[in-house]
Amino acid sequence: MNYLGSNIIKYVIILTAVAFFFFPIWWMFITSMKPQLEVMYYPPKFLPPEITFKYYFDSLHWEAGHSIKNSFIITSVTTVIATILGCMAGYSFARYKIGGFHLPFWVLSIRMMPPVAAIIPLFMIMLKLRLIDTHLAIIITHLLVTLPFAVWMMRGFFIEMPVEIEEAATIDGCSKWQILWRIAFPLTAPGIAVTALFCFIFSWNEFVFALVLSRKDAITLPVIIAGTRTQFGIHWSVMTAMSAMACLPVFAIALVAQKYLVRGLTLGAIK
Amino acid sequence: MNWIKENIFGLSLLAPTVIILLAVSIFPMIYTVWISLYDFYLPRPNSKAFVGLGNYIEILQDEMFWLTMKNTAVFMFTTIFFQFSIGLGLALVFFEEFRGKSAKAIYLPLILLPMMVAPVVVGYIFRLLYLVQWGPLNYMLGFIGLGPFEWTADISTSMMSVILADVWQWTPFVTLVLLAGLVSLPSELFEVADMDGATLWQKLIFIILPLMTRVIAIILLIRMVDSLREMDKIYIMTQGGPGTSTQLVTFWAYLSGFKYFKVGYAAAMSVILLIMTIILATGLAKFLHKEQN
Repeated sequence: MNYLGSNIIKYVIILTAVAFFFFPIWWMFITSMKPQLEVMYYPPKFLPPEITFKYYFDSLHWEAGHSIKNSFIITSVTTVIATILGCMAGYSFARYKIGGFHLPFWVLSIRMMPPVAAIIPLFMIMLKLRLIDTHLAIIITHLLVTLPFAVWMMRGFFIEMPVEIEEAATIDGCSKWQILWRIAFPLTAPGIAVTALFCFIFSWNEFVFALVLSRKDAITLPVIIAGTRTQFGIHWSVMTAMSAMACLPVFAIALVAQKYLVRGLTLGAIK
Repeated sequence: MNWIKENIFGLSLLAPTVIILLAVSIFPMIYTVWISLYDFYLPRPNSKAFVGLGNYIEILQDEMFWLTMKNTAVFMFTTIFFQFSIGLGLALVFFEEFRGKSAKAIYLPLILLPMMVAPVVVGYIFRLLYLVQWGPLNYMLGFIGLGPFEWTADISTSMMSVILADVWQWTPFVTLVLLAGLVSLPSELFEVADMDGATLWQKLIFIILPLMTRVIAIILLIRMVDSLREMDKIYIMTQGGPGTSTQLVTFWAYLSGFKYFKVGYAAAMSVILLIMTIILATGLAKFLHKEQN
């Protein structure tokens, strides 16, 4: 009886938690599919009376298409650069121990810096270089967030790789570059993939740098979503439709990388 | 010289990263410190005057700065308190549920989703949930005789509204990390404790908390560093208002620079923010260092 009772309590807690954490996301999805008149309706409807994808198409008038394209360009370039350089630097830290613990940690601490602390000088530098409202400006600032993370994560993955494999390869006459390309990178491929996916998420969701450094041409999806506020209030249907589109790639990544989520989120501290 | 020769390969792998990071972080940081010593008003860039520590003195005497510091502290400690207590409770429940089974369930992925959502989107979703007349939250609270609340529009509830959104987003992080920590503990400990008839509370005090201090410290420090970065949700939900009830240091620094164009003042504030981050990061380094080397 006691056993049954504690089991019931357990499942009530789990169900409440799932409802609490999932409800806002559910609400976003159904609001994006409700006819607009149903959004401002009392009592609120927890299931859409009819499903429409009209607002997903309407959001194109708000330049959603343009900003999704920008977001994809900026995020992909950032991810590729951060991952490649992160692999190289991470390997160097792990094998050559340059700077001991402190240099890699200095690199990581850049990731923790509040964006506001860097945005004023970066804005003025970009202004001088005439880079405001270009993809390049936003990519550079996104590297500030993703590159330190990638270096740190890859350092952890390379430290875990047994050094004996590389020593054996050296004896067999592999050059340092061959070891890197033929052994170190392929053996840490899952780690590289996870690092890349996390870089993608950070860059995709980033808001402050993109807000300050874009005007029109280089505007990203989060900035466009933030701009759905008009003089008549927020256009809820379009906002939720764009938000849903912004969430989908990231949700897909989260499900794929589930196993490594903790490692990424705790900066590699907990596996 | 010899050292360089031996490590030339490692150094050349490292060079591009270090060059990029020097260019986009160290150089701007030095620039920030330099600007913070000037009275620099952006619309008149040529009339900047050297004021030494003038901006810092102005900030420390500014009531607004202390108010934003107080708000930041309230935001930081309240969110962390709720995230940690709810997160720990859930982690324990999930842990009991998972023991002896493979940790795959449908509900765990559902719980992970909040932290993947862009903070901008979280801000708007909560504004949608908080709609006074049409929002589902006031509707549901109505059944138990509460409200209607004005949420972000009322000075007395605005901070709690922002905190709730952050608690929603980051509690899963605490749960997930604690769960990973719990799973990595030797399971014999729990078996022995069960045989001796230990209650959950006893297991928490005598097994879990002592063995997981490192995990807990890392969680708390990461959350603290992140709440010093918090700005997106504030921008979307309240813009620091109503009045100054949700004004945080980060957003105030942003407004000073990009709305009031008091660049020197904003830069000095950034430097103070940086110092706070460095203190927290140094603490975090201790806990990361222990394991990695």
